[in-house]
Amino acid sequence: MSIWANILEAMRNLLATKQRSILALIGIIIGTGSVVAMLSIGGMVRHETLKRFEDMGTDLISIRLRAPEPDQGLGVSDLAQVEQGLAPWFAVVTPSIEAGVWFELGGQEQFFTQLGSTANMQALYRLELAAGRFISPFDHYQRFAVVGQQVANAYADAGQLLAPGSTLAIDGRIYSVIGLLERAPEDLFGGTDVNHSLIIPIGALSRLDGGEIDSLAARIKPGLAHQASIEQAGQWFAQHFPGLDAEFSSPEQMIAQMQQQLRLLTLMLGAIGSISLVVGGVGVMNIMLVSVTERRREIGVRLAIGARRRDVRRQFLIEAVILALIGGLLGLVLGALAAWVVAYFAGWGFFVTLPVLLLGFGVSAAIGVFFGFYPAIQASKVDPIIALRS
Amino acid sequence: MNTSLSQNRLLELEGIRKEFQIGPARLEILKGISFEVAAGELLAVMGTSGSGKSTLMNILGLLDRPSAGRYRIAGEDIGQLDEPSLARLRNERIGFVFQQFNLLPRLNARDNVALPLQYRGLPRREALARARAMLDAVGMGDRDHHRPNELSGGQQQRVAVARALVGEPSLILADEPTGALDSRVGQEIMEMFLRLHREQGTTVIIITHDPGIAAQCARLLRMRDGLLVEHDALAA
Repeated sequence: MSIWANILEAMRNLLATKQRSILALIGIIIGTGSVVAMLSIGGMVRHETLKRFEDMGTDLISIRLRAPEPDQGLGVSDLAQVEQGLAPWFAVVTPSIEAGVWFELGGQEQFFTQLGSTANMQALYRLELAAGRFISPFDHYQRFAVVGQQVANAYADAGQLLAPGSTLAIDGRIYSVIGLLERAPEDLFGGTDVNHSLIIPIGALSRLDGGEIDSLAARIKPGLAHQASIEQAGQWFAQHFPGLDAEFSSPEQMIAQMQQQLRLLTLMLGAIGSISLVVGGVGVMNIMLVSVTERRREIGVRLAIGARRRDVRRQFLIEAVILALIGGLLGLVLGALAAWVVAYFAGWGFFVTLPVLLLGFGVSAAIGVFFGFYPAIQASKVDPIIALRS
Repeated sequence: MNTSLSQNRLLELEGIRKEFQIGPARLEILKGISFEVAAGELLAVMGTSGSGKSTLMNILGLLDRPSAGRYRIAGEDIGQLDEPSLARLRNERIGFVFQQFNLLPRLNARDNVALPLQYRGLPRREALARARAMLDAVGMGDRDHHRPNELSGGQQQRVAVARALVGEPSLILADEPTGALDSRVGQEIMEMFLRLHREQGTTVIIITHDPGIAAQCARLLRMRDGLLVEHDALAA
């Protein structure tokens, strides 16, 4: 008997017992659904993460500097040497000194960061100006400030519209505003939210707050291997500034970390999916065993008219696989729907990939074969003499 | 007569025995049965229940193997064959007709009749075309899309006969084929067998309680307690 004839018959038999077939499938539907949902959600999270770094580039490196002993830190005067020393690996280097300050503005507590940096910072972080200009190498020790968007908003709320040329007082200091920034991504690599910052020439801030540089940001030169460059730059630091802890982090590391975390989540959801699938498989096995018992006479007739035992076995196996595949198909729909709901509320772009769908389908087929095998064997062992008696 | 019989021997049984182990007891159902059936014979097997005729039927139909003795179909020794070969022989050589019709309830008449051909490996389309033609031949051509539960007993048995015949077997084995039908309808079915025997020379073995049915067969085997007790050759 051809495979198509088998499939046709299997469909007919399943349709004849629709209700209980569907009930038996609930486990497989949930199992496949959760596998598909978790893989889709994982894929979307990964995609969203990568997309965020795409805006900034994955060649961005942040180096956090710590000096355990006083006077071992990196000063503004060391910058030229550092820039030169790191030149083999890093194209653009920009330092920052951060001085956070709480103060009251228009009756609201605000936290802003005074961020001492250099002109390179704009290019490095791809910052967009809303008005005015960015700090330049010629600003030296001038108390100029480029204002982050949230800072400008806070002043606007307090009744002061900032524009290039206006002055602002913060924590007892007066700065001249030279530029306003467009909104920047919140978690610019390196940890400081530019939107809540005033960017100030590093010379000016180091005079006010002391000169130790908190961190450097850089871009790896095009074409260099990231990890190797980071290691070599680390060695350079250890050689030239032995008293300094230089802690490198890169988007690649972060992506790797995030994927590690996702893998854990994936494994967990995978375990839940697997348990449901096993429960579903047992459901399929149960329904098939019931079916074998109910159809003993039919099996006897089939054997009498010339079915081989393996024809009978194949027929019941195909029926189990089709049953499981129907469950798998419904599970795919359910899983995609769940992923869509999550994407909708998280504001992610929704997508389901073909490998995920194929995996969901493949898993349910495998469940059908695995759990359909025993009932199929039972069916093929029916004794036609006993089945035809009665 | 004897030579032509031996040339056309379809079935040969020699000393067929069948025992069953029931718990510690051994039950001998067939105690040594020997006979031959020539191609084209119409044969009735009679006997009370428990006489062993059903067991004989199962052995003749290759659903069961004898415990001892030799059984040949068209010269082929059944004892040597494995399960798939027996299935193939059942499919190609034997057509079963049962008392309870035993049509598959979820298939319509045409699909039921096509089933033996599909197990033979014929393409579905061809199997269905031949099934259709066979239903026409038994007068059920206009019911080919009916399911068994939409047919009367007599109609179901006609479909079952079509299923038995569709593979052009050398032997029709009918187990009480009229037992579940009223006498008028039963006689119609019986006449189908007679016509098959007369017009197409099909070999038919009918197992029956009914002396009226047995009397219409050319030859009668009587069984009692696992043995053949009478070996009648009635006038055709």
